[in-house]
This record gives sequence, structure tokens and C-alpha cells, in this order.
Amino acid sequence: MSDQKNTFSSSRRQLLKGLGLVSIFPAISACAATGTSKASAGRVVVIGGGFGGATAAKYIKRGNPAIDVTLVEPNKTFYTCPFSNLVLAGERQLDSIGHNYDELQQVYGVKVVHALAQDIDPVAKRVSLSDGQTLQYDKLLLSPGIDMRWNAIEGYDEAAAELAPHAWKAGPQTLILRQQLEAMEDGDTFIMSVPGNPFRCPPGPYERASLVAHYLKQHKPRSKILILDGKDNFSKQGLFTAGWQAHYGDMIEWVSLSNDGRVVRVDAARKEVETEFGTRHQGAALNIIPPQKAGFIADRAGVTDQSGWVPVNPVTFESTQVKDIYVVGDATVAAPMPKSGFAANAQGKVAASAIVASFAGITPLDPVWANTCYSLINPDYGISVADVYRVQDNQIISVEGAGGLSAADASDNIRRSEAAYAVGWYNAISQDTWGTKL
Amino acid sequence: MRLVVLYTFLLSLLVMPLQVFADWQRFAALKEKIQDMTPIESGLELSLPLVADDGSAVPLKVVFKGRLAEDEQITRLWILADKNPNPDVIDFEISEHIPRIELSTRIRLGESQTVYALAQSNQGNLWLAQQEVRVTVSGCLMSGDDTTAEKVMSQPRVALPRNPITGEAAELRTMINHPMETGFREDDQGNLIPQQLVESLQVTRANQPIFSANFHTGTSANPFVAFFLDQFDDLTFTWTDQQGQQLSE
Ligand SMILES: Cc1cc2nc3c(=O)[nH]c(=O)nc-3n(C[C@H](O)[C@H](O)[C@H](O)COP(=O)(O)OP(=O)(O)OC[C@H]3O[C@@H](n4cnc5c(N)ncnc54)[C@H](O)[C@@H]3O)c2cc1C
Repeated sequence: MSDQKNTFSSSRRQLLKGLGLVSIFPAISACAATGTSKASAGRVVVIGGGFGGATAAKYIKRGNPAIDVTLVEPNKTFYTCPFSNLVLAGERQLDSIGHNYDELQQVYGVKVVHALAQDIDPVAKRVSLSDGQTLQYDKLLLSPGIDMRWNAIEGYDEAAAELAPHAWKAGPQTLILRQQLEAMEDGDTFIMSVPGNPFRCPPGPYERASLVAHYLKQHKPRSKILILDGKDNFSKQGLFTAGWQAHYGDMIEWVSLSNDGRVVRVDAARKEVETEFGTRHQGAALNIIPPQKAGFIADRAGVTDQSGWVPVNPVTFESTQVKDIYVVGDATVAAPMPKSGFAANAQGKVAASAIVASFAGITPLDPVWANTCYSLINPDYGISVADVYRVQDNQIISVEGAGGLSAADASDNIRRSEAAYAVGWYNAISQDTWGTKL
Repeated sequence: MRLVVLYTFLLSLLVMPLQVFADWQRFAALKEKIQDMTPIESGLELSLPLVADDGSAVPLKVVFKGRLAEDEQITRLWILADKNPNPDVIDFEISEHIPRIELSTRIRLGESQTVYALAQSNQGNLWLAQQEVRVTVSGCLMSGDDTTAEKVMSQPRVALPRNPITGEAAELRTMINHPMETGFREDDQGNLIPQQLVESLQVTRANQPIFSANFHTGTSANPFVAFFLDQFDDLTFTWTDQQGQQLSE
């Protein structure tokens, strides 16, 4: 008995150390000490080995190694979207953004099953997998990321994405777009279509345009980038626009929603798009970032609402619709927190601590999160926006006056430092989430 | 502690039915239109995002699927938002030439609130729909507020269906560029910027009015309206601003 308690509290201390978060772990209360800690061992199935899921699996184990954790992820190597824009620009190889699950298995004792979760029975608490297995759980954690809304833009389906890639999940899609960039002639146009909110990584499209411009400037300087947007403003807009001007002149043209920027039809074979008011644009390379929704398994679990995303209790990230199913990352409605890897990682820790606490029979405290989004205008020029979030009236709010944006008039030295911080951030979060490098 | 929770829970059970009933009753702008009538609370469908990352252009769609008597048709439709400084968002005048009530637009929401749609038929019947929208300003998101944009109309746009067929209902879209200055905003010196709005869009066929939209402070900048028609020739689209300027397409 007392042994068990010791194990738990020491690992709890470890967990706190690694969290980098403000006291989301409850103090062990009398009830944990009086014996319910025996119930702390339970079965958790985690679906999705990306930013949210891999983090949660690790931190549940760190919180209480006696909990049995199985991670379900079809891919043996996970390629991060963060820094995939550098791969597009030819500044990095795809391998350098790949991570595997060795450390989770070997160091933390997470069982990893490489399969796709196909269905969930929330009553029987069973997950069925593509390899025919079924897994039984006490608590289920989903971090399935996004799925594309195929055909939300006329003509844009899975087949079209082979010709006009979204590259909004990293891996083969990144390479198709890279090939199109390489095949461009000097003077050709690169077209990117950006959806309305909400979508994965709000500054991502504009960072992509920047790094594509960086590549074109060196290799095809007469080329153009046309961004067709479903919005009238975007993340870090002032900083991006100024950075574009300074580095790329008028190479990048941004067409807003109210200037007929919203793409409604795609002809992927012709690399042609048509906007809301009938303007047609044709390019040599076509990148369609379509509207998105939570990964399909969230639907199967019955946790999505009519918006296609998953409403959650912000203190625990448990679904508001189905008990014992926790959901983190891009799939959730966590606004004003953005759909970022940083946020998914932090939410993974919050859900992990809530699950560990729940098995131990204690109540988790209110979480506080920070998020920083770095973007590169070129490999030596970084900008960022940071925010702090907490829970108020059962909703996530952005703490006023906390966080901030890179200064508009920062020196080149500061921009260079921010680019270095971005690399530091990438290494640190990868280390925290997966640990091992390939 | 438990007791308190239980108590408030019971209390909320008690007041809940009342609240549902009183919701729109307490909203003066809506009450004024409904008077002592009892609106039908099904048949009119309003859809907006549950959470809007940006309150300045929230997409809204309203569809009428209710049952109408013979010779009855929807002639008026209002969109109202109870917590905007001015609850009027946009309203529509609809003739019998509109084959189907399915209207899309983009609206402004100053904060989280309930948005209402009220439809009225030529026989005076009313239909009501409502939806709550949470407005957040998302991290990694920022809106560039331009106080200096020119307050004139430009770029009237109309997109007809790609292959319009007479007799087949299809959607057409309209938009005009204009900042839709509400009169509630201050400039950098702290002075109120005078209100300057596009007031309306009128659609006529051979001088006969078939559809119009009246814009208010709750209509987004660059007013956008999409609606259905089944006959596409001889159409004129006229936007009128508060100064009486007109632009036609
Ligand atoms: C170009 C680009 C740049 C970005 N840059 C940044 C950045 O600089 N900083 C930042 O913080 N964020 C960035 N992001 C955002 C970041 O990639 C996402 O927010 C993050 O990946 C979300 O984590 P997640 O766990 O929700 O989903 P993911 O990381 O996508 O993980 C989901 C995992 O679930 C698996 N999965 C899905 N369905 C199933 C199933 N049914 N069964 C089993 N497994 C399943 C998938 O295979 C996948 O591995 C960027 C995104 C893009 C597109």
C-alpha cells in the first residue's frame, strides 16, 4: 500500500517537472492516500501518434507507469507539419522532420500498434482496428488531427489532391508539392488556395508562401506566387506583408475574400481554379488547402458537433458529449487556442493529467497554457506571436496583456534570433513529444 | 458545497422553461416585429458557425422549409443580433419570383450572442429561428483594422450560375466593396468615425423589383448576398449608399 503511494507521488513529481505548465496537477488529497490509488492502474487507448497523442501517451505513463497505455497510429514514421515548409523550399530533407515511436515504447512502456482505428463503441468501450484487433479501454484519448472536407470545393477530392496537393499533412503530399515547385519554369505562377477559419495552423499558409518565395527568388526569380484567400485578414498579417515586401518585392500577391479570393472550383488536371465571382486562375503549381474537420474517428466516436469539430470540457479535455473519451489537438474546439502543434502538445499534457488524476480519484486543477507560433519569412528571418490561455466560466480565454507579437520595427538581428528560436522550439517540442530522432 | 450545486441545479430546472419562452420576448427589437403574434419555431433554419474565430465576417445562411398555405409566400425576412450595439443585421424583401428561400450573407458580431431570423409571409404568419454563436479572437489570428479605407462603393460583383437554365433554381452571388463604417468606431485621435453604409441592394427584372436586401451596421464590410433565382435574363442590380449614390451591374 504505502509502496504504491510512493511510486505514484514520485512519478507525479517527475511529471510536474516535465510539464512546463502551471500546476495542472492536483495535490494528492487524503482520498488518494487512503487507498483509492490502487485503482490508479487502468487501460487507456490513445488514437493518433501526432503532437497531441504521442505527448498524452508519454505523460500518462510518466504520471503513473502502472496505467496500461496503448497508442494506435498507422504510420511507423510521423512527419511533422512544422518545418515541412522548409522541406518544400529545399532547405531541409523530409527525413529531418520524421519521428518514430521507439522511445515511447522502450523508455516509457507505451504499447504501440501500427494500425488505423476504424470504429469505436463508446458503450462497450471498444476500439476496432484495421488489422482486425479490438482494444478494450477504460479511458480513450483521441488526437486524430484533421481530415479534409473533400468536395467542399467543387472538384477537389482525394484524386485531385494527387495533382493539386494540399500538403497540409506532411509526408508524401509535401513531396508532390516539392516536385511541382521544382518543375516550375522561371516566370511561372505558384497558386495557393487558403480556406476560411477555423483550420490547422492559421499562419501556416503565409509561412509557406514566404518559404516558397525564398526558393523561387534563388532559382526562378521571375516567378509569382498568388494566394487566393477565403478570409479578409490573417495571422501576423502586418509582419508577413512587411517581410514579403522587404525580401521578395512584389513576388507574392494576396487576394482577400472581398477581392474575390475564395476558391469555389478546382480543375486539378489543368491546375486551374475558379473563385466565387467567376475569375479563373491557372498556375504551374497548384496548392489547395481545403476546408477541414476533425479526423473521421471522432465522428465514429460520436464526439463531434454540427461544426465537424469536437467540443470539450476545457479543464480536462474530456468530450462534452461522451464520457471517458478525451480529445485533444486540432480536432477540438479550443478557440481562442489555435490549431497548433504547440497547443496539441500542451492539451495532451492536460488530458494526461486529468486521466491520471481520474484513475487516482482526485480532481484536476484548472490548467494554464501558453502558445507561441513561430513563422519563417526566410530561414534567417523569424516572427512570432505568443499568447497565454486559462479557463474562465468553463471556457478557454486568452489572458489579456499576456503574450505579444514580434515588433514591427525589429532589427535583422532580432529576426535572425527569432529564426534560431524557431529551430530551438522545433527541437524541444519534438524531443518532448517523441524523443527519438531517426 | 454539494448542496449549493444541487440547489442551483434545481433552481435552473425551475426557471429553464420560462427562460426559453422569454428569450426573444425580452429582445425589444424582435418583440417590436412580432408584437402579440406567436411565431412558428420550426421550418425556418438558421446556420452560423457555433464558434466564430473572427466576428467581422461571420457566414450566415437561412433556409425556409416550412409549410405554406396556397397563395402564401415569404415576403420579408429579418436577421437580428441581440448584443450588437444596433441589433439590425440585414433584412430582405422577397417577391414571388424567388423560387426558394435560401439566403447567404456575412455578418458582424461584436461578441458572443444569439442571432435570430424572422420570416413573415404575405398572410402575416411568422417563423422564428435562432442560434447562439461564440465569438473568440483566435491566437495566431489578428485582424488588421483599417480606419482610413475610402468610404465609397466600388467593384460591384455578380456571379450568375455557370450554366443557368430557365425554370431551374440556381444560386447567384453578389458583393460590393465598401467598409460599412458603423459610426461606433473611433479613429487614431479618438474621434468617432461618422457612419457610412451601403443601404441596400435592389434586384429588378425589366424594372420590376424581385428581391432586395437592406444592410445595417451588423452587415459585414463588403456586403455579400447570395440567393436563388430560376430566370436569369434582364436583371439589374443596384446598390445605394447613405449619400444616395448608386452603382448598377
Ligand atoms: C504547413 C504547416 C506548418 C505548421 N507549423 C506549425 C508550427 O510551426 N508550430 C505549431 O505549433 N504548429 C504548426 N502546425 C500545426 C500542427 O501541425 C498541428 O496543429 C498538429 O499536428 C496537431 O496535432 P494533432 O495531434 O491534433 O494532429 P496530428 O499531429 O496531425 O496527429 C494526428 C495523428 O493521428 C493519426 N490518426 C488519424 N486518424 C487515426 C485513426 N483513425 N487511427 C489511428 N491513427 C489516426 C494520424 O496518422 C496522425 O499521425 C503546422 C501545420 C502545417 C500544415
